Amino acid sequence: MKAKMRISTAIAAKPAPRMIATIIAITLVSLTTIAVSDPLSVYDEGLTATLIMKECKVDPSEFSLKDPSPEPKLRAIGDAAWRQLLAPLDEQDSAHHEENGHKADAELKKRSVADLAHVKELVSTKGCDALVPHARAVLESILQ
Amino acid sequence: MAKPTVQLPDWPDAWNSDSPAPETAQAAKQGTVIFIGGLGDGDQIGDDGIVSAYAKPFSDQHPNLDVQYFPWDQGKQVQDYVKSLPPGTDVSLVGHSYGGDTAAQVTQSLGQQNIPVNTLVTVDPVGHFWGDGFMSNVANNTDRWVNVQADPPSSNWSDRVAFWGDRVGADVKPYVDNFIVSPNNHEDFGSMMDTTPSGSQSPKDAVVGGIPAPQAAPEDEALP
Repeated sequence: MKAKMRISTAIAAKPAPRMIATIIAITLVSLTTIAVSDPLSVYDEGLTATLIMKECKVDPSEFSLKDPSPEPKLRAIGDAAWRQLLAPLDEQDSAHHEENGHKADAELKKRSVADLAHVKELVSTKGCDALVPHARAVLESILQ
Repeated sequence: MAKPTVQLPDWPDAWNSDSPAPETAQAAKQGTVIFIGGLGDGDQIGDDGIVSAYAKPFSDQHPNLDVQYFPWDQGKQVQDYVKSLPPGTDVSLVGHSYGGDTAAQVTQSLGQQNIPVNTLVTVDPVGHFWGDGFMSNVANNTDRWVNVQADPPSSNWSDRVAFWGDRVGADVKPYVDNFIVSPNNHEDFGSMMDTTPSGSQSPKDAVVGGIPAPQAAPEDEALP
């Protein structure tokens, strides 16, 4: 299943509170499924949510995770996303695995640049008050 | 140490900008220090970024050094700049986050062209595929490799952003000359550069190489 509710889409129409709850619920259900089938989507969603929290200067202590040490989980998702990009490169040219690995990493970094630009635009157009609750929900879903 | 023999990889597409390399360093300089920023850092020295902002006063304080700055996705330009320097120039690469990965990749690639890097400083580098072969190649082409790992008392969002990108962490420890653990967050580049372990130099001192910064001229001798 590739369907997902991007944060930008979720707040684009400034929906009513009940609709917001529905949207968040859809997001959480989608992410749970995506986590298995589409690591790149989870990477984009999770990194975007993290960047929103950073850009909006949310105090990390205000966001206590059930898992106090999320690094292994975040690294695992990033690694899965990288492997998703690496697999077709190795399939085409298995003789240059190391070169393919760096290419896949460069592609992943380009996605993070796009995610950062996306977040800066969202913050300037929608404001942190609208973004942070959604970002919090996405991170809680991924890091639960 | 033996030179790496692996085939020179193509540069990632993100590195293939056509913008020209900066002018070659002045011959009078005592060495070249190239800073490389990470995700979201400035485009040029003096910009409001973590490393780009750090590099400007560093350059002002060390007029005897040729100080340059590049974003993380300009690895090819970094390599071209180093290749443009007079043979024997003392070269230091200092990369933060994604820029640490770029600095390491440039070091490996220069090694494949028999161009050594004197000092490599990777500050909480972030990137995939830091395997044994890659890290060995990087270590083989630098006289001194200093790595700094951020280890703050409590993580903030900059640390979590780094985790998403696969922070290299302690994997690099067997390959570096100095592995420094700094009690700072990922974004605290300046503090990490100043971290001084007992019995060793700070990364900043390793880059400066013991060359003292010139004293400021007395005010009455200053130009009008």
